[in-house]
Amino acid sequence: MSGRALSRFLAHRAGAFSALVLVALLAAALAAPILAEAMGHDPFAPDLFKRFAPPSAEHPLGTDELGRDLLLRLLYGARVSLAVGLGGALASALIGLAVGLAAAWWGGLVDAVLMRLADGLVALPALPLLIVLAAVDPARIGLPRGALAADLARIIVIVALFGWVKVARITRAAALSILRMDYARAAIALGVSPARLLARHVVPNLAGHVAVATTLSIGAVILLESVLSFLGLGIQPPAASWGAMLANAQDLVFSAPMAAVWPGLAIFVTVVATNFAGDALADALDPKAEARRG
Amino acid sequence: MSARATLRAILRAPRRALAALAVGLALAAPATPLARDTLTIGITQYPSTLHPSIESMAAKSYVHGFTLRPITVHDAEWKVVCMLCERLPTIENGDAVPEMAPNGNPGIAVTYRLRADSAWGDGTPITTEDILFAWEAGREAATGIGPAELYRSLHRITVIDARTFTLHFDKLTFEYNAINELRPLPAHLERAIWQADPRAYRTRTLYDREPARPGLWSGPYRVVATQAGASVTLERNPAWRGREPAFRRIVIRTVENTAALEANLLAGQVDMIAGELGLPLDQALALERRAATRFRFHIQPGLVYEHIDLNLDLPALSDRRVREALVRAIDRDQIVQRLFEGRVPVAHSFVNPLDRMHDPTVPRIPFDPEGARRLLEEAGWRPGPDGIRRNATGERLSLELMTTAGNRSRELVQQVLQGMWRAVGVEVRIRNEPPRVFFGETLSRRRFQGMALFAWISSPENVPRTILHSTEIPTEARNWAGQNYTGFRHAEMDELLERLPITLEPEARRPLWRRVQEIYATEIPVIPLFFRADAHIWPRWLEGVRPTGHLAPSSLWVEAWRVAP
Amino acid sequence: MLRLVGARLVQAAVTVVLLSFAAYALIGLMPGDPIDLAIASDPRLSAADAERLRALHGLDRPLLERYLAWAVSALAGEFGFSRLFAAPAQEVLAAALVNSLALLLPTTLASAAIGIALGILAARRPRGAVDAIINAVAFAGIAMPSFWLAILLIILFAVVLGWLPAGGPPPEPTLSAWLRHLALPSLTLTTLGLAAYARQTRAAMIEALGEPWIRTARAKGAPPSRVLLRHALPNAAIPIVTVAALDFATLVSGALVVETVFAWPGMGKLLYDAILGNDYNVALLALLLAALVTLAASLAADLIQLALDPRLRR
Repeated sequence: MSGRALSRFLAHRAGAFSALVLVALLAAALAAPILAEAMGHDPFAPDLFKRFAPPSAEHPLGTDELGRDLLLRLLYGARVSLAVGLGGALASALIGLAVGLAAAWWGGLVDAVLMRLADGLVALPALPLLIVLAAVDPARIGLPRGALAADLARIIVIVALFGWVKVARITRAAALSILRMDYARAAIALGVSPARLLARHVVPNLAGHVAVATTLSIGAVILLESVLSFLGLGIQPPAASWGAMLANAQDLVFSAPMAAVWPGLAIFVTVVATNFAGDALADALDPKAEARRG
Repeated sequence: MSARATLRAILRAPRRALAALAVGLALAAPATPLARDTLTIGITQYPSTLHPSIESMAAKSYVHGFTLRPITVHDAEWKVVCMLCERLPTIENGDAVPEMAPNGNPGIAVTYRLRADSAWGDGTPITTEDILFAWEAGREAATGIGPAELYRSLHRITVIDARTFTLHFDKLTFEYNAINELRPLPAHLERAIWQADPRAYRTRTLYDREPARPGLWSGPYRVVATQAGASVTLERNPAWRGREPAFRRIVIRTVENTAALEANLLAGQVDMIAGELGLPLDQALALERRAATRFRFHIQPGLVYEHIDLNLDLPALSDRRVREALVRAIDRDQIVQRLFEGRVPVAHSFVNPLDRMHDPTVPRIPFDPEGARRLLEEAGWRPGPDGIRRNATGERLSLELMTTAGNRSRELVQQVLQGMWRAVGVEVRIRNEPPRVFFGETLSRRRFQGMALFAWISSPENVPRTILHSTEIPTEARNWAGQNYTGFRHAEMDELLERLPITLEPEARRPLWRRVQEIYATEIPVIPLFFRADAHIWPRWLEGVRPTGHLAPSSLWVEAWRVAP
Repeated sequence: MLRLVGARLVQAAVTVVLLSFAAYALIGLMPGDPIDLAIASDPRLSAADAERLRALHGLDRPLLERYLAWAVSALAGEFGFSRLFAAPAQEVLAAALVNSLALLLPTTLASAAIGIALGILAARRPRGAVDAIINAVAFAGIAMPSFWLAILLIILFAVVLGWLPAGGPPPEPTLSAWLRHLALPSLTLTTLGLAAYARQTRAAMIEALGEPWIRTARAKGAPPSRVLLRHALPNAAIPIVTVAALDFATLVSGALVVETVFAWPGMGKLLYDAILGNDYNVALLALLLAALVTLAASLAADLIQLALDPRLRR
C-alpha cells in the first residue's frame, strides 16, 4: 500500500477504528493462554458444580453449561472463528478473483467451463459432499488426527470450495466492462502485458466490489463453521468456537440466554469491524479516489 | 373455528348435543376456558409412511397408537397383554401347544381369538383374513417389509373360523405369545392392490395414497387428514366399540426444532409435548423450573441405554484391569445429578432397573479414582511427564472417544468423562462423526479406535444375543451383520445367551439372567452410563396419560385420557 | 444475442448431465445407506434381510448402471417414486415447492427491493447519519444467525404478544391464514436477505457517483434524484445484478434453517431428508430443478449486463 493509500485508509475514521478493533481481537485471542494462566482456571476442564454461574469476580462473564469460564472460552473461540472467518473469506476471495479474471480475459471456452462450474456449485447441494468428507479418516490419508490446525485447514478448504462463486461472478462481470473501457483497449493496443494490465487497471477498479462481497461473507463463514462442527467436520469438543457456542445455546434459549448473547455479540463486532475495514480498504485502493483527490 | 366446530359436533353427535350446547354457552363468556374437544400434540418427527409394517419409526408408532390396535402389546407394567385378542394364549391355559416344527426344531402352535367387537373404521369386522393377508404380504420378499424374522419363524397359519387362528412357529422361546409386530392389514381394501403387483405395493398402499379412508384404521381414532411434513389430524372412529375417548379431534403437529417446539407450547399452539418424541431432558427440566404451574411434567425413565462400547481388540483395552480402571475413574452419579437433576437412573448393566430380570445384588463398580490409579499402575501404566500414563515401551495411554456429532447432550457427557479420565492420567481424544457415518460404517465395521458412546433401545427382557454372543461380531465375511461391536468373546456368555430364550419358565430364567449381568459387570466389555428418560409435558387439565418407558407409545391407551373436571 | 442464448443452452445441457451424475455419485458414496443404518438400529434385521432390502431398492447394482437407468427414465419424463415418502417423486416435490415459493418468492423480491433502496439512500451521503443507520441494520442482518432471529421473533410475536402463530403451514387454505403463517418466516428471511443488497448497492453507487460524467450531469443542473436514478444506478447495476442472480438461483433450494424452526415443510427440509435418506429420485429431481433455475438466473444476469453495457456487444 502506497503512502497515499495508507493515509486514505486512515482518513476513513470508522475503518481505521475497526482495524484497531480487529487487531485488538486478534491480540486477545492470541493472549488467551496467558489470561487463562493469570485467572488460574482451565477453560477446557468441566466443573459440574458451577454450571451457568452468573458473572462474578472469578468469572467476569459467568460460566457455560459445563461450568467453564465463558470469557476464556470466548477468547479461545476467537482463535478458531477469526482464523476460519478471515482465512475462509480471504481464500474464497483469492480463488474467486483468479477465476473471474481468467473467465473475463480468455472468454470463450474457458469462460463457459468456469462459469458453468460456478453455476453447478450453486445448484449442487453441499450436504452429501460434506458427509462423504466426514467419512474420510484423516489418518488414512496421512494427516494428523484431531490436531486443531488440521481441523482448521480442513474447514477453510471446505469454505473456499463453495465460497469463491460470488466473488468470481462479480469479478468477471466487472472485469468484462472494464476491459471494454477506452483506457483498457488503449493499453491492449499498446501491447501492455496481460498480467500488468489486469494488475494495474482491472483489479484496482473492481477491488471495491470484491472487498464488499468478501467482508459480507465473513459473518456467514464464522457461522458455517458451527454447521460443519454439527456434521463432525469442524472442530471437536472441548475446543471452542463462537459458532459452536451459539449453536449449543439453542436448546436452552429460554433458560440461559447469556450463553448465546456473548458469542453473538463477538460475531457482530467482528462483522461490523471487517465491513468498515473493508470499506476503508476499498477507498484506499480505488484509483479514481486518487485521481479525485490528487 | 370454535363456533363452527361446536355446530358440527351438535350435528354429528346428537346424544351429546346437550353437552355441546353447554360448550356453546361457555363460548359466550370469554373468561371460561374454551371447549376442550381438540387436543393438539407436538412431536419432533413426521412419519414418512403410515403403513403398519413398512419401516419402523417412532412418529409412525405414536400415530398408530391412536389409530390401530395391535393383537398383543407390552403394557405400562411391561407385561404382554391382549389388545385385539380375547385372552393371551399360554401353555398353561392350553391355547399354546409345543410341537415339532417341520425343520426338526422344537416349535409351538399358538391359538388366538380376535375380540368380537373389533372392526375397521368402515364397519368391516377384523377377521383372520386380515391376519392371513398381513402374513402373506410380509413374507413375500418383493413387498419389502423390514425385519422378516417374524415372517420367517411363523411358517404356517391354520384358520379355525373367522375370528380364530393358530400360528405355527418353528422355534420355541419364552416370548412365544408376543406377536406385537404381526399387525392385521385390512384385506378388503389392500389385498387387491398388493396382489396386482407386490413389488409396487409399497408405493400404492392406501395408507399413503388415501390415508383418510376409514377402513384402514381400527383404533379409537382414525386419520382424517394429513399435511405432509407438518401434521396428522385424527377424529373419533365411529366404528370403535371400546370406551369412548375424550377428544373429538386430535391434531399431531411436527416441529422438529426443539426450541421452536417449546415456543409452540408456550404460545399455546400445541397443548402437550409427547415424551416419546419430545424435548431433550435438560431442556424439559429447564422449562419445568419456569412453567411448572402451567404444565405437568412427567419424567419417564425408559429402556434407552446410554453406554460406551470398548474396542477389545486394542492392546490397552484388552486388559481387564484397564477397563475396570476406566469405570472406577468416572463419577456417573455426579453426571446424572448435575446434568439431569438425578432424573435418570445410573446404569450398572444393560438390564434396566425396571425390568423384571434386573438383579440388584450383582456387584457394582463404584466411583473410586484411587482404585483406578492403582489398577492402572498394576497394568503397567505409569504417569509420564505430561500427566498422561505410559507403559514400559513408552506408549501413551491415549484413547479415542467417538459419538454422533451434533448430539449436544452426548457431547456434554463426553467432555465431562474426558475430564474425569484425565484426572487419573488417561488421555481421551474426542472425534465425532455424523450419525450415518458413525453407525453405518465406523461402528458396524468396528473401525473405532477405542471407545464409542451410543444408545440401545430394547424391549422388556430382551436377550442381548446379537450384542454379546461371540458369533455376532461383525466381519466382512458376515456382511457386517451383528452388533457385537466390542468383539466380546466369552464361552459361558455364549451358552447363557443360547439357553435363555428357550427357558420358558420365568423363575428358571432368573439365575441365568443373574449370571449374564454378573459376567457383564466383571468382564466389562462395555461401560454402562445411564438409562435415558423421556420428558412428557401435559397441560394441567389433562389426566390419564400413562407412558410405558419402552417402545409401546402412551397413545395406545388414549381411551383413558381425560379432561380434568 | 441469439447466438449467446443458443450457446448457453448447449452448455446448460452438458452442465445438467455432469451435475446429475456428480450428485448421484456423491449420494451413493455417502457411507451408511439407510439399510446399513437399519441393521445398526434394529437387532432383528439379519444379514439376509439386508441383502434382500438392498436388492429390492436396487441398491445392490453398480452406481453407473443405476445412474444410467435413472437418466433414461428421467429423459422420458418418468422420475420414479420417492423411497422415503412412498409417493411419486414429482408429487412429493410439488407440494414442497409450492410451500417454498410461497415463502421465498415474495421475500426474495422484498429483500432485493428494500435492500437496493436502502443502498441508494445510504450512498447519497456516505458516512452521514442515514448511512450509519442503514449500515447498522445491514450488519445486524449479516451477523444474525437465521436460527436466532427466527426464535427471537417467535418469542416476541407468538409467545409474549400472542399476535401471530409460532409456526407451521396454515391449517386452512384461506388468504388470511396464509398471511398470518407467512408473516414471521418472511420477516426473518427478508431481514437477513436485504443486508447483502444494501451493502453491495451502497458500494457500487458510491463508486458510480464518483465518476466524471456524474459531476458533469450535476454541473449541468440535473436534479439530484435524477442523477441518482438515471445516471448513477445503471452504472452501478452490474454487481447488484450479479448478487441478485445468485440469490434468485437459490429460490428452489429452500431455506433449511428457517423452514425447520417455523415447521414449514419446504424444499430445504425435503432436500435434506431426501439426501440423508438416500432418496435418489427426490434428491435428483430437486437438483435438476435447482440447476435449471441457476442456469437461467445466470443467463438472465449476463443478458441484463449486456443490455446495460452496450460496449459488451462488440
